[in-house]
Amino acid sequence: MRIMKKFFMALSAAAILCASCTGLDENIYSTMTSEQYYSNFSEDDIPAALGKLYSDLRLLYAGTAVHTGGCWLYTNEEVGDIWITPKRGGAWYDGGIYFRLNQHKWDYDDAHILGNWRRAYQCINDCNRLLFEFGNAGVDIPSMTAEIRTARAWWYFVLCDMYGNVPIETTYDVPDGYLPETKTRQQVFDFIVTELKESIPDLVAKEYGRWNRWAAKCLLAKLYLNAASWGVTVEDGNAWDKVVALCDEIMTEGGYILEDDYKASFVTENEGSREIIMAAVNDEVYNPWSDMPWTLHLCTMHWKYCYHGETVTQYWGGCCSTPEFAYSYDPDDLRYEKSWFEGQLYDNTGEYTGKVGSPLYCDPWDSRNQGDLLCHTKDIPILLNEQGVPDDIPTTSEASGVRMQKYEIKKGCLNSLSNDFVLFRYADIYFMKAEALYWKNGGTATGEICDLINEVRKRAFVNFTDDKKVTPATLDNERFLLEYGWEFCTEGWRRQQLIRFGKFTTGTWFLHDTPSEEYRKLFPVPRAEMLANPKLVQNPGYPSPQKDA
Amino acid sequence: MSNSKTIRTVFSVLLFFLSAFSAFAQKVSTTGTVKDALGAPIPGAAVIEKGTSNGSMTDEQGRFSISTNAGATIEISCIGFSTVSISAGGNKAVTLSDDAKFLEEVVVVGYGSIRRSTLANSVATVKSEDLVQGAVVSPLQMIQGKVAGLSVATTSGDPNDNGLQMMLRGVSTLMSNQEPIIVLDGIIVSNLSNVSPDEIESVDVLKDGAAAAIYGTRGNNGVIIVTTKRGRADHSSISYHGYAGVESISHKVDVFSPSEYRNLKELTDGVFTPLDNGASTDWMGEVFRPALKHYHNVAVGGGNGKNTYYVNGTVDSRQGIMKGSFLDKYYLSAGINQFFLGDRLQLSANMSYTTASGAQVSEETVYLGARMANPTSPVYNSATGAYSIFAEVPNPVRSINEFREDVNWHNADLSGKAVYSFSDCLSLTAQGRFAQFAHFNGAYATKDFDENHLGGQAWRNTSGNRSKTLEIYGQYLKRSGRHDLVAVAGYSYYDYMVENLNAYNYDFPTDLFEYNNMGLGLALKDGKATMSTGKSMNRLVSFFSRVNYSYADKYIAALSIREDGSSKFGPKNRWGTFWSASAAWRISQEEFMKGIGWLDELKLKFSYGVTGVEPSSPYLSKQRYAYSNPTYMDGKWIYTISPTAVANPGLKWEEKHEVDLGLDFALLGRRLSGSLDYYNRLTKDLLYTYSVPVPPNLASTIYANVGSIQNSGVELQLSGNVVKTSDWTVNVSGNVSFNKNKIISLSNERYSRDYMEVGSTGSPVQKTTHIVRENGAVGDFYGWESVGIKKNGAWKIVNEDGSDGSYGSESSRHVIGNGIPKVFAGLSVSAAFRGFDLSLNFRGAFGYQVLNQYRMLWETFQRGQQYNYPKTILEKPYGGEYLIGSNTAPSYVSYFLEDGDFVKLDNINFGYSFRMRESSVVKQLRVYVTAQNFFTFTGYKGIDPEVDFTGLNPGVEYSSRYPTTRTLSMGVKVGF
Repeated sequence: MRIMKKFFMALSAAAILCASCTGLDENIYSTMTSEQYYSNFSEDDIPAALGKLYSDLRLLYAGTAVHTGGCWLYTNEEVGDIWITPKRGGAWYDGGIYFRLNQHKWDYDDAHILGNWRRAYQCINDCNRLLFEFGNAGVDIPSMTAEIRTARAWWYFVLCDMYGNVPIETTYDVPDGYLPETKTRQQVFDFIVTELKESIPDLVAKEYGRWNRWAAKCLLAKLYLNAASWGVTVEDGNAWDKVVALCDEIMTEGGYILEDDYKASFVTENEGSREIIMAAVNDEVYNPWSDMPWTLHLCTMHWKYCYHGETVTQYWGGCCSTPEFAYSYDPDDLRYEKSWFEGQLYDNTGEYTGKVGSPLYCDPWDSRNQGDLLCHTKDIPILLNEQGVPDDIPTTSEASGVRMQKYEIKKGCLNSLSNDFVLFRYADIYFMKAEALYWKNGGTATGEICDLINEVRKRAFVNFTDDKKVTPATLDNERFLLEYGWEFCTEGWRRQQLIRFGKFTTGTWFLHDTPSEEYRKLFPVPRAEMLANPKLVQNPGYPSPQKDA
Repeated sequence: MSNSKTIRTVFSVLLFFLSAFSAFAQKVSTTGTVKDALGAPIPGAAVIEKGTSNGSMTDEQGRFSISTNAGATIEISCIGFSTVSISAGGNKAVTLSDDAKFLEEVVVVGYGSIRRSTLANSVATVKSEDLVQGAVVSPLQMIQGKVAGLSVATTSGDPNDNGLQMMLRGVSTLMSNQEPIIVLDGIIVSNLSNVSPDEIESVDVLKDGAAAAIYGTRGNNGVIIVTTKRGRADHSSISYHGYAGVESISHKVDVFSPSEYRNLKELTDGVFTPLDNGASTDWMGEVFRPALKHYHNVAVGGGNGKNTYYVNGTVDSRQGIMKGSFLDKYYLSAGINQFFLGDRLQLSANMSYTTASGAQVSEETVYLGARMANPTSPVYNSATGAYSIFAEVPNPVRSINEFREDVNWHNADLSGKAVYSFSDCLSLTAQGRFAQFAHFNGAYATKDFDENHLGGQAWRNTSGNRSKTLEIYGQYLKRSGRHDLVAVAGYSYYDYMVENLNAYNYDFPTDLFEYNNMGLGLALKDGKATMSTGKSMNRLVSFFSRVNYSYADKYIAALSIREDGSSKFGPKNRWGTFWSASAAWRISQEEFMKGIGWLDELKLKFSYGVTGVEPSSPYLSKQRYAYSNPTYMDGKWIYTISPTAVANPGLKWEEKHEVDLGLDFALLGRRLSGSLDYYNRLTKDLLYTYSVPVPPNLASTIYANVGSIQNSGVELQLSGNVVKTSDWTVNVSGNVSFNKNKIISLSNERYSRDYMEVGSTGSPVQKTTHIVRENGAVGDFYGWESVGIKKNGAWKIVNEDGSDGSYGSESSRHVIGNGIPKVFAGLSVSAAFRGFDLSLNFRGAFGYQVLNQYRMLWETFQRGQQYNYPKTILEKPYGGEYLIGSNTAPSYVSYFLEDGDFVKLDNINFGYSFRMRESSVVKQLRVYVTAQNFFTFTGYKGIDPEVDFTGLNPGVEYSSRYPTTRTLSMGVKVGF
């Protein structure tokens, strides 16, 4: 081939006017090559590089197609007893994906299964890369290394929780063709514990929206809290004691408070809340549609909510609360209205009806509710067909179900929310400590446990009279789960709570009318990943792909 | 211009034309005999008075008799012989010699041309007289249906984008671009936007891999070589061609009229109760119009023996059938060619410039909106006077009135060429081209556009690209005795750069300025306006050579090789080698064939060629970093930096290996000729985005070379001169091609996948439409096979083995059709009688299915009462008892997958050429009427079964499609 080229060159050499015309180097203009990046790297570039940890954190809940494609928040809530995305008219079926999540019938091809896996590993890769790049650049700042390792530990925590047995990968520059292999859940658990223990001493004490020392301690406490339900053992002592000890540290030294107003941690400008231990920061301008928008409001509110709420964006209107959960609140519990939107929608702009304040009506998406008042109800009636029975796929009205408004939807809001996403908050420390004590006490409540819960409950009532308090007599598993729901709904922890209290695969709720198999406590390794990496081992109960010969 | 002056002008023009008609004078009679060089009589030769349509034919003994004007010239011609002119009067003995020119027809093959008789490859040539004559939008439409194996489909009626799709010999790649490259007058160009239809001289299509191999890594999808008219040294002329026409939707899909809609409860036996909003609106009428178009071309050309020149100017103005859309194009091209140094040096320079301005509406919603909108809904809300608001799709009238994108682009193309002949045998050619394209569009959505309350939105976007080509090659031609050698070797350099700027702003104080005062939107002050720019380049350097050799015009061999270096390839694979070998045997030239009088030509040819495809985007082989995803760090918002994708330093071209075995023939005094080709093309190292595991990879996909696809098929092209008398000429030509596609593999040792699902049914069905699977074919529809409808409204589904299945279940899902026609065919008939001429072009495609997305999504009352529906909703599926009721969710079932087979009467052209006196100033005058996309014979229920057949999800008629059009026009051609 070389000789041939020379022959040609000789043949036309006389005619070649510009000798430089065999150059094939690419000029690159609007992005940079890794060589350019590495060779020009300086300390000024550290924030932009490190910032990836936190733009990655938004993958937990943000994106344009998170409801269909899957992310931590949606997947962990859709599989539980609080959220439901029913089919409405011809809409919101989406190939049955929400039904499969809710009824625990997901298969390893589902987008949510793949989406969560990929999002987590993408972020782990970024952590590995940053450690590698900073190492190469000679940047050696212990607090930063600890920060990256803590961020990585968080994503392994997510994987350990959702998939259990997963590969542990800590290197970036792996050799060509290298494929990692599955580790056991115990190995993953031990790895996270070690990483956190080693990182905590070096972490900065406190900084908003960053993996600081308290956020890492809270994560470690969460790890121990779940250890029993994950079936892993803790080497050096009792897991419950460790949870309590970590919570006590945070309570005595952390400087966090329970805000007087439950809503303070969820309003549009919630970054001032002193209850937040760890949050992912959002801004409608800096994180617009093109940069992973935070779209929970679009997923839940009816499309005519733009006239009611006087907002700029448009809505899709799918997910809502199950009737059981909506009815479970104490009528005096202020958290209900702060978490859910119930009632009639009105044309507050006058643009739709021509008259400000006119009530809005259902569209004829489905003839069976066409023309009804557009009023969100706790009930989710399943529509019957001409034969008087439900459709093959249960279908409800576009109006039914109360909608998520825990994260404030401000007037004039855009298609991306500015509210910071709360990952850990101080109220959870109370609950974690209470729960650890509860299990340590054999699943029986004590006065101390009830005091912790009541401390959080207090602000939910105008008059926190004795009848509003939990007591050792009333606080059982069922009540504990309800307390968790009332306080932490729409925060992404429901699946974990249900698993810890043993209800995830044994309980039934609304359309989830049959208990599911025990193995559903773990998600399957996605089919696409199994195909791409033959070293992966599937979780028990799930199929492995048969690759075509 | 005053009225009387107009009338005077029209009158004088008419008089001028009338004066040009020939007047009849005294008659003389001429008789004679016509024989060939060996003295054998030639029957059926045409004997025609020159410049007229008066003529006769020779009889069995070669005798003729004709009455003509005194002093006239009589031309005697017969296919296969050279034409002879004689003067009128007396008894003549005429001898016709073999037509050397006929045999010497040359074919443009890239970096030169060779005689067709010594061609060993499959190359189709369409001459200007065979091009589709009509109100075509693109020059490429002029070869629609003319070339076996080349499908050219017009998939849209948008004046700004005719959606022209080309596919040669099946889908042989997984990449989005599957179109042949275009070579315009010797140099590769990205499109023909600078060429008006009147400039086309001929089109050659290099079909087999061996012919295309000289274009190396750009040759995989075939090569279309366009040659334009360039003036003649012996003849100066001015000509004008103009036409005006009207366009309408090719086929309207029937929806319910207001009165039918109100009656739906009765029509559906109570299944559906329509929502009567009290008004009566013809939504189709609100958005569509008969669209006017007109076209004018003036061509000037000539020369004086040492030089030639030409100037060509065109105005092409087209309204779209959707109100508000249009495109006006202006072309100008000019060139000069001069000989120096005793004709040893030939220099030529050409320039062309095209500028276009037009407007687009938000067409993706308009047509669908017009079909969906409740016919009893008013356009405007009677209470507020504002537009009525509908869920899911905007009010189509609002879409048209409140949003418009103005399109402006221009294209400049400069080229020069120098040819120096060292001797009769050896020449050196240098050619260069500089082309620059730029567009500058502006769009505005008024405050009334939608419910987003954005207060007016404005967009401006501009992009420009520059390409530079330099090619230097030497040619050696030697004909000595029985040896004939043509050799070419050279070098090619290509450099491409593209840059763009986009801006968006909203919340304007007034709609008055539209996009012309972009800074005025408050969103900019709020940090919500957006802006982006980008720039990229790539470069391709090549060395190439080809040798054609023939012995005694009987045994033919050709070899070519090209070495391509592309900046898009990874550093490990910078250079690729592409080669071909071809051979042919002209059996008819053998002694033992001489006795067979009816056989004029029989050539057996065989070729093998290797070609490639470059990766579509530059930089894919490089690890790149980009700033994105702002985050909050250290008290302020900053951009974060991270790698953009997984780089593949081993990235290279896709490689196609193609075998072609063919037979060229001509019979019966060359009145029937044709070719038959079999081909088998195997593409390997397919470029596609493959899944890779995360970890260890940075991202879950990589652009890599994996897998292979095979296409094999047969093509037959025939053309016949059916009738040729003094008055009548009838020519018929036709072609048919069959292709079979098979995906051999989607894996290699490094990356593997057994299938991928592609395409989307759209909401609310939310399924993928196609599957690309090993041992399957590109275009396989992957869905659920319906056989009936159950009482509860659910689809009765069967599995692949015929057992009962259920909709949505993956185990019931199987391949239910294919979206790429297995057979394409074309038929052209042209007839001339005295001054009249008529041509008909038929085109057909067979053996494929079309997914009718509109029916799939809207042929169920489940969508609700505020919508209109297709009338086909009243049909009972599979002749069953139940029509699709209100319990049947839109589903991806085979009921909506229709056979697409069609035959189109694609073009009719009927004209009359006036007889002109030799002395007349006007040399040529022809008037004609023409119809384009006139009628489609098909069982398909949508707008047009000719949809996009390319890509991995072909054969879907999307509901948002801009409908194709039928054009009726009248034109005139005048030559001076």
